[in-house]
Amino acid sequence: MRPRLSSFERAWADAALCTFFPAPPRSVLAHGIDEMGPGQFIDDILMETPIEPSIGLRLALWIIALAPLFTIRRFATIAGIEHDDRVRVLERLLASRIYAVRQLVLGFKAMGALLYSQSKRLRTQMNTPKAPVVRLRMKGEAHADAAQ
Amino acid sequence: MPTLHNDENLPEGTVVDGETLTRSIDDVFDVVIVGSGAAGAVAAHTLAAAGLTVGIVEEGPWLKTKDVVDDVNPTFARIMRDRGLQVLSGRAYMPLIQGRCVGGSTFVNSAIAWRAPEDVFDDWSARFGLGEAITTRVLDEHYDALDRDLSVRSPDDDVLGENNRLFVETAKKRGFEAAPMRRYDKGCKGSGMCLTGCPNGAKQGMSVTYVPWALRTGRARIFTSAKVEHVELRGGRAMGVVARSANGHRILVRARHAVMVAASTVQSPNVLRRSGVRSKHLGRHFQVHPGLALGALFDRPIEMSFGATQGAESIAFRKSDRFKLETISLPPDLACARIPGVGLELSERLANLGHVAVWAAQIRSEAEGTVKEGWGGTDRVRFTMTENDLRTTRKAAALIARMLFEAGAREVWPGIYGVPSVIRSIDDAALIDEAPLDPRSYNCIATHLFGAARMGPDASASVVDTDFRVHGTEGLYVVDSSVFPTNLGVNPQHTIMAMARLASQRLAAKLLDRNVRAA
Repeated sequence: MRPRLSSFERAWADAALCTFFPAPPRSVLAHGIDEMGPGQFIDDILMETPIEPSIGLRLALWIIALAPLFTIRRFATIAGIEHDDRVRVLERLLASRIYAVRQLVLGFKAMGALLYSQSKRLRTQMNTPKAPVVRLRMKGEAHADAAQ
Repeated sequence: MPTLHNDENLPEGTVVDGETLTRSIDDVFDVVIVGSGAAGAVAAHTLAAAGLTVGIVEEGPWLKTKDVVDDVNPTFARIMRDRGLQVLSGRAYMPLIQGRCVGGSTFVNSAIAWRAPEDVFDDWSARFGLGEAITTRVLDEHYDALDRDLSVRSPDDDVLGENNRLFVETAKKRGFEAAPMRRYDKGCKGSGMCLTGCPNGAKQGMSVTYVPWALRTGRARIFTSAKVEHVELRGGRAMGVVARSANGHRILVRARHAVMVAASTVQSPNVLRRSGVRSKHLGRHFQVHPGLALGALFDRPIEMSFGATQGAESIAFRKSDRFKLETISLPPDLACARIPGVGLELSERLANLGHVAVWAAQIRSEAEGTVKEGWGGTDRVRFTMTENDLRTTRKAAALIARMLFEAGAREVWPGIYGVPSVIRSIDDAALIDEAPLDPRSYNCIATHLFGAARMGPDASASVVDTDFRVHGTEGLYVVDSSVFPTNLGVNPQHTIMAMARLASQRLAAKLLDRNVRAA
């Protein structure tokens, strides 16, 4: 019998996915993944997926959870740091020199996307062209705006 | 009045659902077929139409057209092997996407019809001793029949979609040939949902064509959600298959004359191995077309969500550089992993998905891998691209990046480690030219699988003979792409079906001739 996520693992999953797919004003989309039960979704995926991908997904969760220590030198889990720091942590993981780390975290992001894209409201918002296109802020501006 | 699709109102008793079975089954047919994908479905219909009784054993469920939804997660969970999370291992992991349902991968592919180029068959003849067994001339009549049966045509202009149209226009400006794809299309409405199943029954996958057609002959039955454990061999002869339903009941499907294995390049060799077939080449020479896609953001609307999912292509570089260019429209569920950013930055790109184009390359790789069975009956596939393959991949990626900028992209997302995740000028495409030649730097997916039970006249160098029969075994055939000695460099479904049609016509002729003589 495969173990379900513990309460702290679920908190990590929530924190990670709410960082990838935040709610306004940290997002220009209509809503964040927070209202879609991200932790429960990951828990269910772990139960339904064959054993090897399931282990990979759980390993990704633990890497993300403990990453603040080895990416930004903060002695805390992903759930215990502020949003902007979480963004920095996830960005560093996605760009990691270590193949397994960046692929597992990318896989975790992809899992979150499967949930997030189930929102009909968001799909409409995403797929409908804008005129003119919403101007993408350069990376530094985006962080500065979010901090405000 | 709701539309009645071809996968509905099937004759009573022709579908046995392994998810709701209440007892064990013992049934008998002239020919038993393992798998209902491109090869199995065509073989089933060909044999049934010739007057033989056919039992099809399909591991996955039957997702009907009326139940198709555009959500990737529930769809993939139901009809993809390992819910779409299967991977090849090697120096890098590569997602391996296989349908596991009635229709197999034809339920979730983009329905692209390509006849294999003649140079491929020339190579098979010269290097693998196939002689005149498999040639363009031999397969042409089968290709023609498939063209007619499956309504092969290019998308109408009004459903082509901007992602595809822009690709063709850009290629032509660059001076090389590109065109809308030929697809199995009976009234495409441009839903852009090929990857989760066509909600309109327009995509002519096997579950709305050859499988129901076979069942409607009155001589075929399909057992769904029933996994074949092994082929029963006795005295060097195939007697039938033993399967297990999804809810645990034993299904014994006996074959009076033959068993045809059409379970795909990964599953067919493992079925044979579990059945006691021994060959030095079983599970070896596994080949792939690795696929690499680049996304790009435009100011102009692209609307990938409308139009043919994969509607335009170019084979201009197939022979010179071993890659084929294609478009692909990804739904948000699948596009997101390829879009750079976290948080606000990611949301801004997602909000502009209506302005994103995705163009891709299919690499005709040289590398060969292996297919084995791991613990617990899992499939173990190992494959690593060669350095030449990586040079090809890099070259194709750089070309696509340049084309996207020439088409007006404001940013391109190479998705290659060692290259910035976002590049904003055509000059930056030169960074891709210098990308590392390391398989771990590229996010390819394994599209189109070949080999692992290859064909040849010599039993010491192949698994099946030129009649698709497993060497040394009476009545056991393999008819899917696992018999291909090499990959093709173009989409393989048409050739898989043509070869299955050839194999099953020959078998039908042999069996009916035998019956006539016996009478």
